[in-house]
Amino acid sequence: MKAITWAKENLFNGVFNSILTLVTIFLLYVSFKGIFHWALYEAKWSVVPDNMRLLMVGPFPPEQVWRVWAMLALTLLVAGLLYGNVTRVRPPLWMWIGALLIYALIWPVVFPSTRFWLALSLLALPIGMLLGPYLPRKLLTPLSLVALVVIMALPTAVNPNQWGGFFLTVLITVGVSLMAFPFGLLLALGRTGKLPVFRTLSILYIELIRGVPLVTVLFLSWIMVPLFVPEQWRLPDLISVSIGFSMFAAAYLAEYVRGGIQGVPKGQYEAAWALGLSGSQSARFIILPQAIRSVIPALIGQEIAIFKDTSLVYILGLFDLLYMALTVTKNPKYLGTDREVLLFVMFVYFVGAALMSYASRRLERAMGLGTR
Amino acid sequence: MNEAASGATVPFWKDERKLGIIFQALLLFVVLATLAFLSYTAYKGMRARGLEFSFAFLFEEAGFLISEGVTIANDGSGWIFRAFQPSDANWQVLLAGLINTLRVSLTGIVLTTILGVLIGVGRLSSNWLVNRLSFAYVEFVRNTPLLVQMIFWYLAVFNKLPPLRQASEWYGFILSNKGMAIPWVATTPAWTQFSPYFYGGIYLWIGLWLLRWVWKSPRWLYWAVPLGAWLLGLFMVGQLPVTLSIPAKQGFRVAGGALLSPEFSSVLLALTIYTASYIAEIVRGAIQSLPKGQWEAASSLGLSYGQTLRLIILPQALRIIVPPLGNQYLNLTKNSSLAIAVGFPELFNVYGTLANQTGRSLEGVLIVMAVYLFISLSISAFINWYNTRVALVGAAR
Repeated sequence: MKAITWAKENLFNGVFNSILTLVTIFLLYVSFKGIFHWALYEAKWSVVPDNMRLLMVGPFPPEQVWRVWAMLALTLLVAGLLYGNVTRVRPPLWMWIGALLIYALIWPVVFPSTRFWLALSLLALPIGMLLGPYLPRKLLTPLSLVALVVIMALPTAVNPNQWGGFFLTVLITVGVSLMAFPFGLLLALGRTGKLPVFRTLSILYIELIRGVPLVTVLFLSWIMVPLFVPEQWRLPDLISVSIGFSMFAAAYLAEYVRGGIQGVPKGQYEAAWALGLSGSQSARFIILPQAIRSVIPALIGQEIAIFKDTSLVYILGLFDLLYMALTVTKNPKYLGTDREVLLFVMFVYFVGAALMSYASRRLERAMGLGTR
Repeated sequence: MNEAASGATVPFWKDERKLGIIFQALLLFVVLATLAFLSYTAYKGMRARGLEFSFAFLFEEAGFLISEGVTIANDGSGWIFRAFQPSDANWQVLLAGLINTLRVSLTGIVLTTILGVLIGVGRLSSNWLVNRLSFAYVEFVRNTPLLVQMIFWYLAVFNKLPPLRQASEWYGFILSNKGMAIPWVATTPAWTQFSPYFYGGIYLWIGLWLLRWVWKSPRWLYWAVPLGAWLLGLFMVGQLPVTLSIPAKQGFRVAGGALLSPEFSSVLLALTIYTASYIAEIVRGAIQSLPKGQWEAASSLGLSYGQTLRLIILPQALRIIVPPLGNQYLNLTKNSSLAIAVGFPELFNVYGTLANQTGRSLEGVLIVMAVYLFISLSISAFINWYNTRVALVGAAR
């Protein structure tokens, strides 16, 4: 009975809505009948687990894959430690069960010698949360810094030209964001500041970059950056492309931060001035903390855009997730599996982006954005 | 106190004004020095690699073929539009690429606006099914990269379509691995007699528009003059000058209609679907930002849902929509450069081939960037002009 009243209220309230519902159901049926039949009976989904290592780490030497696992485990451990220390929340039961489930689900596709690392990375987050509250803060900061250095040092034993797959995608996302953020901040300050030369240069830079497509910027830096270094250096493409990518992302970041800076009430500037703070002091202590806090959702949106845009490095021949996926489909053994592999790539990107926007919503709520 | 205020004894490293000037001079110097250093090293690096910075290659023969594209060429009697040929010059192939970029972008802009508004309104529909479907569409499309979607359309959809022989026909549309055949207008033999009237109507319209400083014609005249000219032409010729040509299978090829190549179709579909998800969110945000009283006032006037939307809500929402919508149009145009991944010969793809053939990567990419910059600035100028027209009178411009 309840279902019928619900349908009446939400699907068949009025003539127009009833017709709309029926037409939509018909269209859904027509389009999804074939898709479901294909997905259940015709698709060769085995291509994805069979090539999981290629898709995840690309041409990374198999005996070195533990390095990637160790990076993941360390990152999760530090994240768990920090989170546990700040919130003093014990790891919930679903986290342990989830780790067990994921382990059971993906151990067949993991290189046998690295199954130990898989277990370790899955347990790292809850263990970190468990230990976090007992560590003094004084110890935690140097510990995280040491972990950061270790994480950055881990993959360097392998030639950067052999980094690939989803690992490379994540690496570019993180690297580009870290490089773009300070530059974007500087540009935003320049554009909103009072210094005419600084402002003109910032505006010129931002508008110039925002007027051209990302691929052209990537191409330009791919061509130009190697010209600026001694020829014998043999700069990996990853570096020259990342530089252009960061310069591009900085222009967009600057515009978001500018929105935040302009949203800070004028009274804050006046109060800072009345306290006798200098321009750089008021920017550092008064304006930027408030401005960045208010644009965090937009910044994470930009982060998602960077994550999605990393797929463009495929055009330049870097071995990112998309490149590896298309390599797999060219393997004679897996010919004609473009749909399966590309759908998997979309799925990976979707999960990554959805996780980021979920985190953004959580953060927004935790900081009480828009409510105070 | 007095001395400090006059600034006489303030050392320059504590004087904000002087510090600002020093900082800016330093900044300008650093930027200029960096630019000079970069151009010098680039020049030296290119010399070391045996290259020379020059645009002379633009006038050399291209010598390669692109799969589709129209360019302007001199056929001896004058400049005409015709298909690009390998014997044309390099600037002509770049122009063909630009025309392809504009073709796919303009078509995409029209289609994505329609789809985006529909989905955006669907997001607010009281119909649960439509509402959830629109939501799922927006979430899925926005959270996956455009490039992957484009390659998916090309490799996983259009490349997997059956050959023309087995292709299914659907109300004048034929989908095969040769591409998408759609009904299109075609001219009949009577067109040659009709064309003077056709162009005459357009010239008269332009004349009226130019004359508006001297004599302000009533609005209906703008419609009546060209229509009158065309009707007169129709009456004089006595035959239809244009018909709707419907594609039909003819052996291994399609006759009639217009055949959109698989590359063009996948780029167009990917751009349309991707941008529509952003436009949908813009439309939804704009409609939701209108005061609820507008809906209530409309329904108390007895307007139906559709009437309310058409007469009350959308015209007001339009003001909020225009600036971000223009931004999306810009994004769509810039994103068309991703077509290099599926081999549609738009500007950037043509540049890629050209750079391979001539080795002029740097000069080429600078030209391409300048062209995109020009397109971007034109679109944003147009949007600004339009925005001032729809903005509230008296509102801040």
